[in-house]
Amino acid sequence: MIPREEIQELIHDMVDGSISKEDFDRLQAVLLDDAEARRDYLHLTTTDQLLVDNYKHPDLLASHVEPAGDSWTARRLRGRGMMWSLGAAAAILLLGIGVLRMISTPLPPVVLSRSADCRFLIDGMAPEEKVWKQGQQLEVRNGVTLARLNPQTEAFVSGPARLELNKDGDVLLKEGKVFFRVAPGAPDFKVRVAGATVRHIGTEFGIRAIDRGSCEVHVASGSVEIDRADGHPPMELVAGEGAVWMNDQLTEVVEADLRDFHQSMPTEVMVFSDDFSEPKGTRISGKKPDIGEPWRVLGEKNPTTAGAGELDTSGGFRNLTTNFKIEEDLNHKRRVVVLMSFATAPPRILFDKVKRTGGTESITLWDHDGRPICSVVARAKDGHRWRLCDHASNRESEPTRFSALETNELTLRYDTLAGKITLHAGPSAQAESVAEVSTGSDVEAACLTVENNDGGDLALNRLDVQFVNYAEKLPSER
Amino acid sequence: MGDDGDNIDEFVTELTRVQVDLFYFIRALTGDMHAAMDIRQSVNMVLWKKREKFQRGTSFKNWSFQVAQLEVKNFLRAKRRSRQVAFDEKLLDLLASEFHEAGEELSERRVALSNCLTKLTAKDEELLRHRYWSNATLDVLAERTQRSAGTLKARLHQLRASLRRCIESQLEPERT
Repeated sequence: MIPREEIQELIHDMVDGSISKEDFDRLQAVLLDDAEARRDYLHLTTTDQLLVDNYKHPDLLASHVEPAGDSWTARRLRGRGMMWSLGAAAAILLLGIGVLRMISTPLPPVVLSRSADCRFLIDGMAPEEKVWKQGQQLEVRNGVTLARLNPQTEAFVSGPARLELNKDGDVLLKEGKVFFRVAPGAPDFKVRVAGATVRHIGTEFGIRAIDRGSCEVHVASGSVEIDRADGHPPMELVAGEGAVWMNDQLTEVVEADLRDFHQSMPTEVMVFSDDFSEPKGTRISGKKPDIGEPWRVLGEKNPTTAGAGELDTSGGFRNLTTNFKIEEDLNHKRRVVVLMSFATAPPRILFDKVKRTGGTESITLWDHDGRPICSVVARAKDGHRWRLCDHASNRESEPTRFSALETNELTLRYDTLAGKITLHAGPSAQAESVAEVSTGSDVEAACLTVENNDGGDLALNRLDVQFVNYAEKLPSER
Repeated sequence: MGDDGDNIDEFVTELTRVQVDLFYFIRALTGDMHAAMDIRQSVNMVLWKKREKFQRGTSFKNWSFQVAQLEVKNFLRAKRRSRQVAFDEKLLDLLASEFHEAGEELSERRVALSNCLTKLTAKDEELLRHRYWSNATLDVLAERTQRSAGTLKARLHQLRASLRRCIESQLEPERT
């Protein structure tokens, strides 16, 4: 008897085409006897094919008669002998004409996905659905948004950027950097930028719109055609070449430089997470979070406990710390955006908050050498409203409207390359930004502290820290 | 069905309509997407040759599936002779008779999948895109993202299974 989980794995291996002869025989024996396993196999095969259609070959699948130029079917068929007679080929061609004429596959929507540190808006609003429709403006404030313009074309939009999708599916790039990856056989589309039209010819390329009249185009592979509509004939750029123009000046051909373009989505790693779900009264000292190193107490007036979904510091000052779970080399010589998300509730002791005007609450990120990087701080004199603090410069934001003594979800975003720290009113960086301070710091976060003094109290329901790792090196490391 | 112009148009319409279902059916029986492409061409050719035998008023889809089942058997026999892995005929008959549930309402399933994909994290979406869009191996993504290929493979399997559940829940919300 093979366990159900193992049967599932065998089916997945079969679907992937990576099953061994021995495992195939085992799977076949199971499928012959087990109707549920056959059902799983049929559904997973269908799901797999739907995914193939979605990502790769919707048109080819619908009208597959003669394989497209460089598709994988074409490659598979290459080198084989003539399989069909001329009569059969003629019949297939006839069918193909009919199929091509009668099947019209609807254009897929432009589906967006975003990195965890990204905030994007559609027509000025944070959208509920990650879909970009024709005629709408996409504004990427931070991070990277991936727009799949069609099944064969991806656009990696780096914030800050503003784009518009026109009725023909072409892109108007108003500001910012976009890297396009276009697979062979992709539908035609154009990028309109700085008065010019850029047309792909099966390629990977980046465009940076600097302002209304200035632009850079850099080609990684394939070629693109640029038509500036300035009376000069269109120019073609090939792999390794770039073009730069400023307003109405002539186009200068330069060496392609794509280092500043995001060419893939960053990886995201949760380095700390605690929802305090232990039994009520669990001592915080030595308590293991869901992710991260055990909590340590640096100072407390009374023993600190957590549990039942809450860490409440009421009843005296506390200074609690915990280290992140950082894999080796994960946080090294790369741009890392740190997201610290936390949920608060009213603390148990509220009656003394009006009288005690010196109270504070804070959560601070620290570097490997024990230096504070940045904090969210709430002070009694501000009505316990959160504000941001950059410790390297001692700069602070204005207080926000969000109180540490109330139910709130907030996310701190610390971006070394952009040189800013922002606070978002929600559980992710996609939420509205409610505070910002600039920072010159580019150090790596290693741990955090939760601190309150007498007169300040904090009740945390959840505390998460996530690293968003970009492949590019920091400018100082290049 | 005769060979006059109207009948040919009608035949092409029916054949066109059944193409996607036919492909999914053959893919399920062979387990091989590339073979399914070839076999569907072969099935199309057989259907074209036998077009006069199709009886109007009967299900074109059922007829084409019967032809496809025979073509798949021929294909798999040849595959077994060359000592490649291939389902035996008893299993193939079982899969063919049970395919209707997984293979019905493909256009609705496609829409459901699109909705399910919008709920994925960027990292999961990247993994799917890498697997289904690019031609690179999981090793390439593993190196780029500092994860092991085994971890990515396990995650891919989880994603595929959860997308299957998501699609089914969207088609029949009351079931969940």
